[in-house]
Amino acid sequence: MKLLLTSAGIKNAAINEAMLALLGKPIDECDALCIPTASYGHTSFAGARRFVAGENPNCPMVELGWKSVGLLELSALPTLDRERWVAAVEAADVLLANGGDSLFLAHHMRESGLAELLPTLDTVWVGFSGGSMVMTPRIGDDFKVWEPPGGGDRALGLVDFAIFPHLDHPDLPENTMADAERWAAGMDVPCYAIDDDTAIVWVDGSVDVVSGTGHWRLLS
Amino acid sequence: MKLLLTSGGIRNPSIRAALDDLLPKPIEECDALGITTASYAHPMAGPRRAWSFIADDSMTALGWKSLGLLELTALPSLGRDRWLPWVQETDVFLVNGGDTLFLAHWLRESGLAELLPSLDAIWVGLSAGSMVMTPRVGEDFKQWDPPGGGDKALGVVDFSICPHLAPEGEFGNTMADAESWFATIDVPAYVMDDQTAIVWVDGEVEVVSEGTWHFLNR
Repeated sequence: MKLLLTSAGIKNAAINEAMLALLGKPIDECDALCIPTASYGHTSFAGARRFVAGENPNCPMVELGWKSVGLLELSALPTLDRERWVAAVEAADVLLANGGDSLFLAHHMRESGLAELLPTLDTVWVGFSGGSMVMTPRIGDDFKVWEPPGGGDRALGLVDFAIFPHLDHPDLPENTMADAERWAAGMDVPCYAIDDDTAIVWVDGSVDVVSGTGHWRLLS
Repeated sequence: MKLLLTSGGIRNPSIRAALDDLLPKPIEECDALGITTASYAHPMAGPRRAWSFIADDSMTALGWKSLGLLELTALPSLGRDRWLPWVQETDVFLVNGGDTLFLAHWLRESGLAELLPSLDAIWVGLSAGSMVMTPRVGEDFKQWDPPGGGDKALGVVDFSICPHLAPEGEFGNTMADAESWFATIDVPAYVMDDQTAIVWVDGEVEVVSEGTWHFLNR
């Protein structure tokens, strides 16, 4: 499993290049599964539909020209035949995870068994916003919307740093660098604050930040 | 709740006209929610069919004012208060095919089945999205085995449906298939091709068709 943790999808040439390097082949030769589950945690039903349909110019992922796209709904998996959905996941070259509620996504990744399966997969995980934060140890209270059974702010912890996405986004006045610093002060892990033109590449524990024209900061 | 039960979607002008008649206002003023839950459990549907229903389909691509994705399997963990307003405010549900009993199970589990009769909305079903409204599907259409077994769907209408009627050699169900299926169930049934739809309003049934259909009584 290799991770491309974006704030807003494949927004520029540098992030696209990083993705191609992870995939190891052209986009139109890759089978993709898209995961809208996180959006439901923010009751973003229209957002889920736009993501799946590839109509998200602000965070391009599904619309990139994949060989095939399927919809993987994590909350349905526990009631489906495990062998069949595992085969579908293993056959995919890339998993595209929508943003939304990281803890809702983490919950359904654990419940479905996908979280446990991920480290064994030869697949690229491309996350956007909540779909990236789900890989971190915790998200902090500022980003908490849905309350998981048992409480807390724990995500999956596949990586050992936290992410503050959409840094300095013009529509999000609460996402300034000062906000990121305040948020990071309450965290006990290294934190990356990244804007929508930045992505974090994670392969076997080594981290590379890709940011064409964007900006980011490591807050420890 | 009014029902437009199709076999293959909004396939011809007659079915489209029936949809327009049921809707309280023009399509471009109607809010829609798409439900593709049934497709996950059918061996011939799966992830790609679920995706194409949402991304590009005769039902979802009609030019709705808004179109959301309502995922029934996500609703129980979301909390009823959070999804209820969306369901109450929608003008139409667009319901994909796949496995009828899986869809019925999640309609019950989510609480949406119980709520449906009280909603002032149109249910537009495709294949299993239509069959889910019937009392039962019969063993021939059973793929996913529900907890507790059986072949019971929701029973909002009092007849069963055999969709995708097709001539011998083409994709679908032949009339001979439909007759042997009918022998295994205990309710009247409509057998219809993909050019046919059933309009159901307060127990009154009207068949709209540019193709072939049969009513099998008992």
